[in-house]
This record gives sequence, C-alpha cells and structure tokens, in this order.
Amino acid sequence: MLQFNLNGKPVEIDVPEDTPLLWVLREELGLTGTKFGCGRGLCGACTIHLNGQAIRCCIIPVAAVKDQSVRTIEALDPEQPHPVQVAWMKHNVPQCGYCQPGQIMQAISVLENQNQPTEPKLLLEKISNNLCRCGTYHKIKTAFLEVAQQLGKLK
Amino acid sequence: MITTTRRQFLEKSLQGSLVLSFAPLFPSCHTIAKEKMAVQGSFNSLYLTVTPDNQFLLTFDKVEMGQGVMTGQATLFGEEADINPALFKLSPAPADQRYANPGAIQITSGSSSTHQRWFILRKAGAAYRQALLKAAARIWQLPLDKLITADGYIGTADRSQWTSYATFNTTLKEEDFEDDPKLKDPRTFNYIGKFDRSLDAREKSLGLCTYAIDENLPGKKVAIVIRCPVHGGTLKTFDRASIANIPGVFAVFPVSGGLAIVCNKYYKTLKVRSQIKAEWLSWSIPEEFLYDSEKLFDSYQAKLSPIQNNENSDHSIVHAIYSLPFLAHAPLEPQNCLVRYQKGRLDIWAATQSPTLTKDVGIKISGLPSDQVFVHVAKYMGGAFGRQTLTSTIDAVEIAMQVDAPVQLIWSREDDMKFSALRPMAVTQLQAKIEANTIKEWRYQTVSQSLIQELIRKGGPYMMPGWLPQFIGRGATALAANTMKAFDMAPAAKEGAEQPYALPYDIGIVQMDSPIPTFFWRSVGNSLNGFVMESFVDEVAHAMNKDPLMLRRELLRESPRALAVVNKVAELSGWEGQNPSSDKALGLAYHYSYLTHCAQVIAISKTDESYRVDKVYTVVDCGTVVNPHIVEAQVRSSVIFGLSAALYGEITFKQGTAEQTNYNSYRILTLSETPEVSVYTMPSQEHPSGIGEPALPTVAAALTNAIFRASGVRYRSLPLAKAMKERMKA
Repeated sequence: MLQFNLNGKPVEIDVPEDTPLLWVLREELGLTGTKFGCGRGLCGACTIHLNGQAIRCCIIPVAAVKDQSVRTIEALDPEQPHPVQVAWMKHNVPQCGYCQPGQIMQAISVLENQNQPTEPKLLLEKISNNLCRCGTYHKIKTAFLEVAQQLGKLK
Repeated sequence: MITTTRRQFLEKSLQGSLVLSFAPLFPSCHTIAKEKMAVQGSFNSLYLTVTPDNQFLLTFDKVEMGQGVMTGQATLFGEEADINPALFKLSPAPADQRYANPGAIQITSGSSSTHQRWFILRKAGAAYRQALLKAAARIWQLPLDKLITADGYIGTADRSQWTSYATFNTTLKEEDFEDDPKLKDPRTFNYIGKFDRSLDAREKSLGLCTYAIDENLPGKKVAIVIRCPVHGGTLKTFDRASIANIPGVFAVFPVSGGLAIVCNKYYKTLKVRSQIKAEWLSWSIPEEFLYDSEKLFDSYQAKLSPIQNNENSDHSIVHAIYSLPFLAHAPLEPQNCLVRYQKGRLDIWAATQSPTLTKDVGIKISGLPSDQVFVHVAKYMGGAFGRQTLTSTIDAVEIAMQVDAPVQLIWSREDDMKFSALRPMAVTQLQAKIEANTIKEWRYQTVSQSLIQELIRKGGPYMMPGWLPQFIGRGATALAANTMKAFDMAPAAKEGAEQPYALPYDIGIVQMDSPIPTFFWRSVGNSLNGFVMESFVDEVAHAMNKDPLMLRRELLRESPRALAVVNKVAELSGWEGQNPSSDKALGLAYHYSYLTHCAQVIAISKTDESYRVDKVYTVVDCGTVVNPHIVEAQVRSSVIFGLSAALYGEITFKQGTAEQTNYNSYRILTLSETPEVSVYTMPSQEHPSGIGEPALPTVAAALTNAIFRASGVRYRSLPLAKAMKERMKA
C-alpha cells in the first residue's frame, strides 16, 4: 500500500512501485483529465504538480510521490476557474484541446513559482516545452502573458 | 428537388451498408426538416431536437478534431433559425448514411465541411424557423408579417405574443416546412462572420471534456498489438506459453495486425512489452521490404524520365529535382479504440474521421447485422490531420471478438510513429522551356505512392456492401484498385501540381508500391506539390531574371482572386520596398487548394549559424468567413504544422524499420520556436471554401525561397534542418 495526497485528499493505492503515476491517476483513480501523449516525458500532455512544481507524470514512478502532494487538473474548480483557465476561455485557446490540461497545469505552476516580476521572454521559455500539435501557441502566449500581467509577474 | 421515389430509394439503400454505391444526392434541407417527429413533446429532426423546455440540441455531422467544425455548424444553423450558436447543446452524429456526402462514405476530410454544409444547414435552419412562423400565424390567427423570431423565441414585435420555439414542438405540420426556404440576406447576418468564439473552449479549458482514450466500461481490458517491425512482414511463430506466463497477461493471440496482448490495465502492457524476448516471436519478412530510405530515394529518382536537355540559343531549359520524405501525422492523442462485443451486439467507441467506415469494419469482422453494430463517435478528437484509424479499429474489433470483456486497444507513441500510415515520400522533377522570355513548356513528373491504393487495400474489404459474399467483395476490391490504376487515378500524388498559373502543363506520374502504409496527411498531395511548384516558379523567375512577384503576377493575370491574394501579401509584407541581403530576405509562395487561394511571405534573418523565421505573412481568400477567430486559428495551425514538417519532419527507414519513434526524433515546433504569423482574410461573399489545410502547402517553399534570396543556396529536399546539416558537411 502506498499513500499520497491527491488534490487535497489522502489516497491509498496498491500497485507495483514502478507504475508510472500517469496510469495510477488514469486507471486506478479514474482521473482522466491528465493525458497520455508520448510516455517519455517529451510532450507535456501529462503535466501535473508535485508539491507545487510541474512534472511529467508519465515517467514518474508512483513510489516517487509517496507521502507527497499531487495536484491534477481535476483540483481546479470549474465553478471558480483559475485565472489561467479564464484567460484560456477568453482567448479561445484550445483547438483539439488534448494538450491543454498539461499546458494549463504548466502555466499555473510557472506563475505560482514566479516570485519576482520578470521578462515576458523568460517566462514564456518556461512554458515552451509543452507541445501542441494543433499549434495554438499564439493564443497560449497571449492568454498566458495576460494572466502573468494581471498577477504582477511581468516587468 | 427530391421526389418521393428518390426518398424511398434512399431509405431502402440505408438498410444495407451500401457505402461505395452510387448513392442518391444528399437529402436536401426540406427532406431533413420533414423527418421531424414529435416524440414526447420534443421536436426532432436530423440535425435539431428541441426539448419541451426550449433547449436546443444540435447534432454536428462532421467530426470535431480541433478544426472548430461544431462551432461552424452551430453558427450556420443558428443564423437562419434565429438561435444564438452559444445556446446549442452539441453532440456528434452517429454513423448514419444520411450524413454522408453524395456517393460517398460519411467522412470529415478535405477541408470541405463548411463548404458542403453552407446551404444544407442554413436551409435546415431556415425551414425550421419559417415553419414556426407559419404555425404561429395559424394558431394565433395573425398575419405572417406581424411575427418575428429572436434567439429561440417567437411572437409579435410589441411582445404582446412572445413564447418559446418549443411551444410549437407538437403543432408543426408537414406542410409548414418549405422545400426551398428563403435564406437571409448576408447583410442581415447576426452570427455568420461575427460569432468569434469556439463553443468548446470552455469545456476544453476547464479539463471537462473526454476523448475516446478516456472511455471506460466496467471490466474493461486493455490491449496492445506487437507488430512486425518491418511493414509487410507477418507473424510467423510465437511462444504462447512464455508470453502468456508473463505476470499481467490476460490473453495472447494473433490478429491480422500482429500479436495481440490483453492485460487488465495499460500500465501492465508497459512491463509485458519489456519482458517479451525477441526469440519468442518470429516474423516472415520478405527481403525486398527491408527498405533503406537513402536507397529508396535513389530508386525513386531512377524512375524519372530523362530530361530533354537540347538547349540551344533559341531557348533555355530550367530543370530541378525535389525530394520529400515520409511524414507522420503525430496527433497528440495516441490511436485507440474501445470495443464491446456482448450478446450479439457490437459497440465501438472511436475517434474516427469516418463513422460509417468504422461501422462497416465492425459489421464485416463481427458478421453481425448492421442494426446491431453501434459506433459511438468521439465528441472530441485529440487531433487528427488525416490519420488513418482503420488499422486501430480493425485490431480492436478483432481482439474484442475473442475476449469476454470490453477491450480498449491503445497504441503507444512508438507504435504510432513506427506503424501509422504516412504522408508518402516523393521525388519530383520539373522542367521548363523558356523561349523569347516566355514559358513554352512546363513538364511535371512525380514518383510517389498512391494514397487511394492504400485506402482500397485497407478499407476496401470493409467498404463493400454487407450482403455481398466475402469473395465477391474481395474481387470487387481488386477490380476497383485495378480500375483506379488503369485510369491513372492516383490524384493525391499530383494534387496541386496544376495551379491557376497560365502554364502549358504536362503532368506525369509514376506510381510506386510498397507495404509502407500511406494516407491522407494535412493538405495531402498539396503538401508535396505546393513545395515543388512554388520552389520551381521561383527558380524559373530567377532563370528569366524576373522578380518572383512579377512572374506570378504575369502567370495569374487571368485569375483575379489568385492575383488579389498575391498582391495583398506583397503589400502587407513590404515586398516591393525590400532589398534582399544576406542578413534579411523575404520569400514568396502562392497555392490554390480546397477552393481557397493562399499567398504567403516568410521573412527571415541571419543568425550566427543559420536563419531565423521572423514572420509569416499569410493572405487567404476562402470565400465568406463564418468565424473569423477559427479561420485565423486554422491558418496559424497550418503554418506551424507546415514549418514543423519543413524544418524537422521525416520518417526514414533502416532495414525496413522506421527510425523515428517519438517526439524527440520526430520533432514538432515548440512555442518559443514559433514565429509571428499574421493572417489577412480577403473580404468576400463567395461560397465558403476550405481553411483547415490551404495555408500549409506554401510554407516550405516560402521559406526556401527566402533562403535562396538571402544566400543563393537552393534547397530542394526537406527537412531543412537535415539538408542544411548535410550541406555544411559537404
């Protein structure tokens, strides 16, 4: 039995320790908001937060999150969307939408961990490794910088 | 006009799964409207259902892959029905021949959805609204011209009468629906050209939408198929006991695609894969299928006809050979398909571009009657770009038929890169004869694989009518394939080779065959020929000592819409004031595809080692714009897709095995690599044309044309990153 905190609640699961966290979330806990894209940590569709930091959970063995805090897109309340989600809706960012839970979790983590206002370019680099095959990058950029501005993260 | 007889025929033909038959015309809007039935107080029709509490449920019959079609369809219907598109609850159409195109399968492809539905959906909406007006006039005993409609409500202008559309759900009569309802004057449009959102943005931003891969059923098993690493090879032997004994394996058996391994969870398959020893499986691989990409390119090139290079003082010859690689679609959602076979009924959950073809696969493999096979079309697909889903559906149905549980087949990303059907490679030559400053000959010859042949090979056996015995079906498939060959019907390879340019086209094609599966890839043949044609037009301009813009203007003088986009992009990019240098240059390209004209200029500047794309200017004429936001998004999407391919895209083979396996070896553009892309849409009231693909074919040529103008180096093979590296080495 292995325990960790998921979206504010303790969970207990019984799977081999090397099971990728992505599949524990999707197949054992029924949380399918986190997507499978590449299985090698290359695309970012499975981006979630581990203790507030963005990670790619398709390559994280579940044992690595023992007794730690995991946050997925399901932690965000659709009734009270996160400012990043509000901006995403306002700018109609998604096309197929498959990468967007990962993009959004990456963006939230970058903004939450940015203590000092910084250059837009530096902030954008931190969300630049989440792939979008539809190419929604222009809209992501607009929406992301708008939230960053609102939250006082830009110089 | 569709007569009763034709309607009856249509209904009859629907009873079989007649797919490639010469189907009657698409039912016109009045046929659709007349199919309404008041069921439990609801109004029901092929596209619209209105519940007693005035909720509007719209069925969208083109699948949503990210291209925004559900929003487009809601806008077309809502415009004429006077229902705000945002009010619709949207659901995908099931597999149903009534949603098919004339004489074809039900499919979403070729950037054709809005073009095809422009009148059908508007007339369906208009017929409904006008029927409401007639019913209201009759019941309220008011003249028609005293009645108005707005956002799902109907009544008098002074609102002394004002009620929901649903009030009339059960009182609409057959004769209230007009055969050919009058459509709105475009000047009075409320939503077309103005509605500027995506209706799925909310669900997709809140993480609420589900994809086919997210489907679950109680007791679901998960399957993978181990495939022969070489296309065309087949499973020879396998050590069933050893594989079945790996912990986590629920079942193991051969299927047509390879060896199926069924586990209870996907994560179990990861371990199982790593534990299968090579010696437990053996494959039959004909030696001639052990392709090496380099040799393959040589063998293609060897098929080109010798050029007629009898140059003399009267004329000059320009000749060039271009090579383009295989490309993968690589949508972010890996291929998957969930199938449940239970009690004589088959259910298929699939992200498919063709619901009826998916259904036909189910019917053929299961042997069940058509009315016991159900396709649950994914409301949302995690990208598509033309990916072929036949293979994963065939695998999944074959597996589910042998397992006493619902089974979901999931391809790993590596499976998708190595085994999915690819954009074919091509080696193409162009030759122009220039005499007295005019182009006297224009010869095009391409060597490539046919896409149609692959469709017939994979889909053919499933596309034959269900009541035909298998052997006839197979015979008919072979016949169809031979007929296409005989008539040189390999349009995909040369698609886009003839353009609105006034040129003496001489088009030739050499069709290659191999077991490497090929399929329609975003913009299809245009993705090959846009590059080839636009590179060569620039090469000819250079040989004639003409500005590339001037030559295009001359060649397009008979095509006003083409000329207009070229002139506009020149204006926006400052083409005429430019002074190309080794530090900064512009490259121009124009292409016509899917009835849309696209002109592009790419601005580059020199960096320490290479060039950087500063900006992509795109001008499109796609007729009437239904949703400006979506048009812009699709153009940018196409440009980024085209740039990824131009810079990095290739699937190569070594000993018959694909060398690219994931996004590290098959790179796609990242956010920070993406240049600014400006989009200008020509104002137009013409019938809408395609927008999901037409801005792609120009990208690579606009880029290489810019590089030529900056450096004098002409790149004739892609991807550029590789071509540039090879040049540096040389």
